[in-house]
Amino acid sequence: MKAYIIPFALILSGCLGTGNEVVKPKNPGNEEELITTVTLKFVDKATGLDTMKFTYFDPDGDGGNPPLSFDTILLKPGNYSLILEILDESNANEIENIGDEILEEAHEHQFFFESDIPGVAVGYDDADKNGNPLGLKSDWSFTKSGQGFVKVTLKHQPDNKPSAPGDINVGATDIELSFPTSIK
Amino acid sequence: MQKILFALLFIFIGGENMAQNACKLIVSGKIVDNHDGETLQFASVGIKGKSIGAVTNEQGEFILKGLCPGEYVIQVSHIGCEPLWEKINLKKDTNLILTLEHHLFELEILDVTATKSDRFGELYSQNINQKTSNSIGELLTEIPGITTIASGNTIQKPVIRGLHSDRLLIQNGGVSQKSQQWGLDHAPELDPFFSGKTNVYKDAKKLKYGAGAIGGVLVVEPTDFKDSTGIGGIVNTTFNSNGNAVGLSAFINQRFKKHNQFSYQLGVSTSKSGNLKTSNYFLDNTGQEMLNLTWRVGYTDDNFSLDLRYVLINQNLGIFSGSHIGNLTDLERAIKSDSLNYPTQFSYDLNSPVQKINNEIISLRAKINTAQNPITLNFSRQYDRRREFDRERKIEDGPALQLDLLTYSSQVSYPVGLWSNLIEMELGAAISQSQNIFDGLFFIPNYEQVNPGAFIFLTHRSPKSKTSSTFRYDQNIRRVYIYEDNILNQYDNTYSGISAGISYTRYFNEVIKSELGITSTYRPPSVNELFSDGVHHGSAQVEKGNRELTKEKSVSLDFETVLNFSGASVSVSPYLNYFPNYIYLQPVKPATLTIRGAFPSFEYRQAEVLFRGFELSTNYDLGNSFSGQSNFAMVRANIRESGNNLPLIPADNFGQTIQYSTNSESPWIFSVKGNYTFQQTRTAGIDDYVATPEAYFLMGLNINKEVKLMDTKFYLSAGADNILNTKYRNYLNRYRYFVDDLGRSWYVKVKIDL
Repeated sequence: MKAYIIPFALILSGCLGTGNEVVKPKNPGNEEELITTVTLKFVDKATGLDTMKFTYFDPDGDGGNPPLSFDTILLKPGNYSLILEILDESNANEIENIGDEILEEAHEHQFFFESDIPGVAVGYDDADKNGNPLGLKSDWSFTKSGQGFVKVTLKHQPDNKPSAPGDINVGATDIELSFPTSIK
Repeated sequence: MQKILFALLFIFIGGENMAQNACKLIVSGKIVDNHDGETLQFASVGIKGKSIGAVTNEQGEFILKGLCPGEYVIQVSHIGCEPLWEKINLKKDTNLILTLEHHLFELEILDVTATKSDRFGELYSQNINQKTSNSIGELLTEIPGITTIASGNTIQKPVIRGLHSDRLLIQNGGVSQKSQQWGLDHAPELDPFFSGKTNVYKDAKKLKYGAGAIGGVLVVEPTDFKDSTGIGGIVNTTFNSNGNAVGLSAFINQRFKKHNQFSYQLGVSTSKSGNLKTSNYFLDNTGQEMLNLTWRVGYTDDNFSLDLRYVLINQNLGIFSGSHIGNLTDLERAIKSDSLNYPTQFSYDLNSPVQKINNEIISLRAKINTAQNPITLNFSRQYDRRREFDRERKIEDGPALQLDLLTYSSQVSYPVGLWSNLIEMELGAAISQSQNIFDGLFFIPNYEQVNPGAFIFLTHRSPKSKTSSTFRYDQNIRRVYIYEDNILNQYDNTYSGISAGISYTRYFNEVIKSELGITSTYRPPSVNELFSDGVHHGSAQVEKGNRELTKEKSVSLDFETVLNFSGASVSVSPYLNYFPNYIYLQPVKPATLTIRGAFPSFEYRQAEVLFRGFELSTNYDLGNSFSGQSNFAMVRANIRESGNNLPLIPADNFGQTIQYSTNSESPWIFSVKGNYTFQQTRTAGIDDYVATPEAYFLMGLNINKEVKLMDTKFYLSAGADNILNTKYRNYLNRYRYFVDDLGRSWYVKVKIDL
């Protein structure tokens, strides 16, 4: 009996190891899915025609170089539809529409909007399969002139998206951008 | 429950009073060297489990007074000797002549018997016997001056005099342990149940283990092989009420009868705990699970000995889900959120965020006896895999970050012997080669490095003093592979330098002993300090490496005085540690703006920093079988130019233990422990999210007893940590931003020594 214990122990413990090579690191720039571009498209409801675009664009993602553009929202008082366009443009040859992916997983995501402009009102204009708000489309009305910010937050809530009106405290933050805003 | 405890305590104190009249017995004696029959001065003689002790005089004589009749274990230790334990059954005044085996140069034995001042402290097996924790960091806090830096209860790293992570070295079974210790939330991969003895060195001797040991070295030795033939075993079972934590470990130790040169060990240790509880709510996802394995085979004959050892540590450590946050807004939200919003039920489930760690060491130690002294050789292979799973990813989707570190190392040491009858000399050399590979999120790049080094250790002894010094030279040759703008670049760096340390111990008389030590050493900047660039998800901050960093140098001055009176001992240890270019994280404004919001930014910088502080520790006999122990530790650290404080420096701490031991043959030992931690008020220039936590007082209880049935020893220990269920937050626990620290926990432990 005793003699068997040692070989048994030796078999139990194999040497662990790694398959990857130190001299060939993974290129993190190519691996990860990035959000590089968030565009806010405001459509004037009165005319249904004028579309104003405001963009945040940071092609190399978090850290590294600062964003190439971060627009100020300039609008007249009025009623607008807001459509969000969200892209991964880290590889110029292969632009990915992250907005489509968010729409597919609408029941795991929700946008939240905050603003300190006086007389602003926001309403969701879309919903996920459970009837809870999503926010890729929303309705805005600016009744007064003013300076301030419009903050867009996207929360990823994979297992626990709260029912309407939702909860910004749940989940991980995929987007949080505070656009400087001027209404006049 | 408390009432029952007090009643029990009362009964035993009552029983004690009747026996105390007879407690006037004296044990006296002489300590003699086994080889030449010469008497040994300055040997320390004590009684196991009691605070009574003495030091031998010039004639090698000692005297221990005030003993009750009963069975005792007399413990004798002396520099360069194997410690001796002698069991006596005391009925009348007794005179003993004890002989010590006097080995001057054997490395391991020197470590074991070094006087108290050689070590920063030793983690006595008794502490491990009493405690149910499987975190070596937490166990080490028994030593004054050592605290932990933690991310909850599952991840605890030792902090020695305010220094931690890459400023400490861990020597595990003769192998310099390499893992991702640079991370504040990366705990050392050690299983205390596989360890026989843990020493912490702070003086010149620490340099024997490497240049980077600025704060000290943790030397963890495996349980010894069985010295007589036959089979033995140890079984440990533990239970903690907080987290419903259960632990089981089994260890077999055998020396073969027929071929008594051969012996082996086989050990398994496993534990599981669930959600932990603060004084009034549960913490979601704070459980852990562990399955560790070890085996060891030894061969010894007159010419040489071989020791092949394997240790595999597998840990899954839950991270409190409320602490894993996205950006600065999330962090502020999490800090403000009412903790009662967290789920409050108990569960053993472990979900993301979680850390999964596998650490494997295989080592071969050979000792070759020469005409003079034995040469020790050590070869090892270490593999450390760390996988970190983020909160928003399911565990099945794989880790967000994986780091693989593979290290090969070899070491040789040779105690040359006495040199012109004055100086003992030991020579050593080591070389290690490692490679680090990441997968997933970028935090540190791939790299490989080679570290050659060599040392000379000299000791000079005189009847009243001892001088030790270490000189070493090290090189760190490193190549980093990193993608920058989609181009793979290589960076080569070599760091080299001399470290030196000298310590002088003076035995003034039987009462006073002092030690003065000066050490100058350095460490190369670690790869994360140079190259990290990214968001640290645990802490919602951007950490930028700084490629301009140079070697971090340190010059430290340690002083210690130990006073041994009859029935009491006092030790005072002030120190200074000067860094001309300490590496630290400096907040950089403005915060880094990303599409996911703003992140506070930090960059690694170097500055002139001075650490200073002291520890005060006393042991005393209170009579009637009561004894006490008091400790106080403080440390200060400032950046010289700005006068700003360094963050994450332990607050001042006062600890008091009162112990009572019955006089029965195997005594019941009761202890009550109080710990007062002050508020850390030295925060000048530290931009923190919340104020430092208020001062707090924690109390613990322990009862333990050894029972012998037939040939089996049972060691029983029971008690409670934070018995008052105090609500508190610890400055060095990152969860303090979000939730309270742990509430009361009852524990029971049974150790069976077969």
